Amino acid sequence: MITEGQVAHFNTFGFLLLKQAFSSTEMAAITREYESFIEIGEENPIQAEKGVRSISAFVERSPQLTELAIDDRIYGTIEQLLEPGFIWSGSEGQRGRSFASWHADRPGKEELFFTRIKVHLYLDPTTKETGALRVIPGSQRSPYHDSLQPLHHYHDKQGHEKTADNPHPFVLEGPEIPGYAIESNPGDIVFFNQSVMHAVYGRLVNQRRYIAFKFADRPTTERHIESIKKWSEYALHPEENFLNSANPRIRNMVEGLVELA
Amino acid sequence: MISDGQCAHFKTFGFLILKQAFSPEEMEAITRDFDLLINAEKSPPSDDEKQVKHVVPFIEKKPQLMKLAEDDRIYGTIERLLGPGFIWGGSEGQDGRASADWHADRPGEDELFFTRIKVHLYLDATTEAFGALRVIPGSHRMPLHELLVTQLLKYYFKESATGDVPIASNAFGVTGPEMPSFALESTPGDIVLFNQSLFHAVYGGTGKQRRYIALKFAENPTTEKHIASLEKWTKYVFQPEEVFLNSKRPRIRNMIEGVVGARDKNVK
Repeated sequence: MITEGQVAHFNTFGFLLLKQAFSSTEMAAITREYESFIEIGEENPIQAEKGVRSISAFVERSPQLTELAIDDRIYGTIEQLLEPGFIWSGSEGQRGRSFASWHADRPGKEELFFTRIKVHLYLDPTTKETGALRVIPGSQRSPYHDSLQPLHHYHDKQGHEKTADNPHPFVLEGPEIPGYAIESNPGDIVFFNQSVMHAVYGRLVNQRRYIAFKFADRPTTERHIESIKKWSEYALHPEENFLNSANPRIRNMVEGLVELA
Repeated sequence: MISDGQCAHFKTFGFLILKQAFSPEEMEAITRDFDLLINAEKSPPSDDEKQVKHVVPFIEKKPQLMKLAEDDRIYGTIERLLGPGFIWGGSEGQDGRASADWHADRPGEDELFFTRIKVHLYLDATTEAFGALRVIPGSHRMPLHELLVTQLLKYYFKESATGDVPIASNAFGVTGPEMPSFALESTPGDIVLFNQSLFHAVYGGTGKQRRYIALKFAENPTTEKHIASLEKWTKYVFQPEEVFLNSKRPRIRNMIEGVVGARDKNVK
């Protein structure tokens, strides 16, 4: 159960860090399970080109990792941050990424009405200079979000390269943009609103492995459904083992999604 | 002359750093004048425990330092950020403070319509761990500003009432130094400019010098609300120092004429 202050932290800044929520023994077991599955499955080809191994529907492959999705420390926290009836929106297993320029996963003013949260469970330490997730606190809301769009456009247009006719927004290199690095150690849980502007910079000093869990407010309007179809169509087609799960928490999250599709 | 990108940086994030705008030789001269002035002041430290020496007004007392107010690197930057008709808001000299919990100098939604800028010229290096100004970028605008005001004030009063240390930032489940922010680390020669509605704090470090000169400016006060806000927060701007009032320097005169105009409106 998180505190009122922690809820305010998430609502105000668009992210929350729960330090040492999992013990080292638990993390050892989670890491073992991660390693059993990260080499299996079809990786994302775009990420693979960058030397990053990214496997979608990762958590769903393992009963042990699925337990994390309904663990009080993750599910219970999400329950406090999203509206009742929130949905499951998939998962990822990732390894090797230490660079992503500033962007929002769900960018644009028209996306801010619909909260989606990504949860990162890092299996290796991250620091500002070694791949910690950097965020621009508060950028999940307008008009701040809108005024940061030049960063996002840069990311989209240039594929991470600066050109003479497209100088860096705010005349700063990406790592100099005034963001906040969410430095973490294994056992910490990072929650962030997918409309918050974020980036990753620095050297890859370890494998920078993490498991990502995604959740969203339940779509109740046409606009919500359109947005899901635009960004995460897969959320409307949960994995069979989730659809057939007898666990009440998983059932709650996936119920009715197929019908929406 | 700052660039459009730097203007956008200030407007978006609420602050700007101009790195190494003054040379080491210039900083040496400025520091000499600062030390002479601050050491000549009879006023005792404002807070014995923290050993802070705070002198107001400051640059108005020394012709050499007065030049900073009309120097292109400061005046010219302010002109771009505040537009024509901006006014002088006074100056400070400070030595010693290395801790201030989260606050905005001009807090509340009602203040955001009227931009005031504080310029810090640090005479000693500051780092995140030692006395650098930390800011919450973008907090000079709604809705982030109001979310911070509401939550910080709620907890500030609650904790004060129970006799606890009033660390306002416990409002977010983290201590003051843990608040998600950006440290404006600087070395002598840098100019730090920030919107006074931006949330800021200072943490860390004692026993070392942390000297700075602050220069304050406000946009052209054109409405009764502007004047009322100046009256509320900085009544002293209506009584500029004689040396500024009588100055023949065009830039100083421009800034003071705005003040006098505002004062006359206030009197009426």
